[in-house]
Amino acid sequence: MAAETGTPTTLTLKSNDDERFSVAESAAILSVTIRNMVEDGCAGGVIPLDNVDGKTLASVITYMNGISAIPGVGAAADEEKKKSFRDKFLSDMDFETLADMVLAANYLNMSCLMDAVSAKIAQVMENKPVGWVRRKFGIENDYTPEEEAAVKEEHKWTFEGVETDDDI
Amino acid sequence: MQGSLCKRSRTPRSKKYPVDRLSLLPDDILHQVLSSLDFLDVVRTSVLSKRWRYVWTTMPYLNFDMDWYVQHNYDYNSELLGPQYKFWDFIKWALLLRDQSQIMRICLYSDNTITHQINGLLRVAARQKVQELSILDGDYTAYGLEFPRVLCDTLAVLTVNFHDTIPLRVTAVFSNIRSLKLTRVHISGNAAEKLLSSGCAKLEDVYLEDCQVGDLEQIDISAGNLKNLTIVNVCTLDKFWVVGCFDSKLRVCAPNLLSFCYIGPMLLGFALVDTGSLKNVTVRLLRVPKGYEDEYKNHGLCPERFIGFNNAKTLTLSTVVVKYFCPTYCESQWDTFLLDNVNRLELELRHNAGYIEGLINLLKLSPNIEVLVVRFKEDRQIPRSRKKSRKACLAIKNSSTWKSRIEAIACLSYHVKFIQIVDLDGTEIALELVKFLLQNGKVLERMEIMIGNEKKKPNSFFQPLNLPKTSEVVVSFPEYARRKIPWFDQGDSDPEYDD
Repeated sequence: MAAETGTPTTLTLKSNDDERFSVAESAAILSVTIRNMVEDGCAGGVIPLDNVDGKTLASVITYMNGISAIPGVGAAADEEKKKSFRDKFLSDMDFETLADMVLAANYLNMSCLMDAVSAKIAQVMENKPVGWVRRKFGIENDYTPEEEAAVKEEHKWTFEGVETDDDI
Repeated sequence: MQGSLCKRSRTPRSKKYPVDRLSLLPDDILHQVLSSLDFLDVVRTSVLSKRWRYVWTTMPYLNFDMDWYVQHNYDYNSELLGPQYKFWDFIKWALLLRDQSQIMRICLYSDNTITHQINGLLRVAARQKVQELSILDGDYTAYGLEFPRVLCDTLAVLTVNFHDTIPLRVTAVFSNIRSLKLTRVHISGNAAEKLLSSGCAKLEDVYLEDCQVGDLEQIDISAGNLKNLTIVNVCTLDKFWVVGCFDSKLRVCAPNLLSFCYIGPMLLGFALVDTGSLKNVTVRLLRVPKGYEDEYKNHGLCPERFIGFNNAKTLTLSTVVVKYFCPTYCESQWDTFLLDNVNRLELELRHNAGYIEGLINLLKLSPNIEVLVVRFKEDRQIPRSRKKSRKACLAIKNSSTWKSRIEAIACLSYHVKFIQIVDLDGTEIALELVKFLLQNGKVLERMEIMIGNEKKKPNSFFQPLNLPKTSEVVVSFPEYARRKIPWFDQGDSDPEYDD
């Protein structure tokens, strides 16, 4: 939306399923992609984000607003506030949404969101039995038992400390 | 593998078995998602499904943690080789079996240092043009880490942190380095030049802690793009265990420098040159240790040794520095020393007249400050066992009194609008200082006082004091959490006994 001089600018972001969202520019430019678009002159109109759907974009905007509301760069107390905001933001998400957030963070070039979501997913995968990880993320096992055994054998240098999986 | 998903029209699956979005992500994004995992876990993803089989082979972020490996892939009962040898075997397999694609980052935690193995890894890193390298938690080794020429050229981020000081051998200028964080590392003068000089055109952040820099009369830090510089307890080799002195000068020439923090022993001099962008400067000095005063009388602070600090917008000075500004303590003549560009002054004091006079002198030298923060340092506990010295200490403490006076000081008369007093504990000397600031602060708008002693209430201090009528000044007592200043609030770091 067009801005008056001196007042904070608001941008309109449009998802790939035609939902529109108003965001303060100061929050939106946490995304390098959006920041570049603004610098290239898109600020006046609507910023189309072809690789993000409405539901995910709404979440991303919640994140942007939350983080940009915490002032200060580098001060330890502010970093803690940001961390606890991120933890809370991610704590309720299911794994499908987390994967969507990863894609969105990558497309929008938001490294802090990317790192936070990646860390969350990695935390779930860390040192867990294969069956557990498959269940959590809905990964379908398309190996035959022989193939799976062969892969494990190939990588036995990494499976030495592993107890047998609990079964799916 | 599941077929392509049309997200909107598919009927929602039951909660028990989520839709597998993760496997649909492209490899390079999966690499980022896995980038914080230990490589052991990354390789194990190969068993998840066919899609995942080769993701680990192109993984550009390698994390090797010896503790993690030993915990999760080593069986003490059945192994013949010691854990550190198996760990290095694992790393070699990892490097051999992955494809030879670019490695962006290697992060190594290994508290049982086998130097030649690490140096082997550095050679691989050189060949692979690794950009980020972290080597953490290692043990002492006399031999040292060797950085091949190519690696010096490609590294953008280097973090080294050992338990004991390890030598770092550097063969070429680090021309692409952006962030340097070295803890407990010994670098020769020659190496310092290759890491910190103008040849390091992209260098922005430098953090040095507990490092030894050998044989330099002057440490020159002249990287043209440097933004943040933090130096904590850097010493020359032979003086390392004598906390308190450093026989070199420090010269920083960095036109883009934003923040400079020095915590450590007295130097032979500071010079900040061509630092027009400077915002925050913090200087916390360690006192010359008892018994070394004569030997280090040349290390005292004076105007010739404290050059370039006027460029800072915010200047934070610790107790030892403040004391040097006290006219009766120090012979230095500070009259020509000017801090007229400083906007915000933060000073740390002890409850002693010398410090208060030092503060007043600093106020005189900073005519344009608008904000003043005074932090009182907690008095050290006097040990019960040393009764004789305890009496002496108490005697000194009791004899240190100071009374407020009316004095025209430029910054207080014309500029200071906001004063914050932190960790006020209600002693008379502290209250007299508050009185002084209120009496002489002609344009003061606001004062915040954080009481250090939770048991005491503000009114118990201020009523007996007969404060001047200051209806224009808002005095408040906000709640606050006492915060320990790292590297400074530990007793040993500021051993002043004879106050």
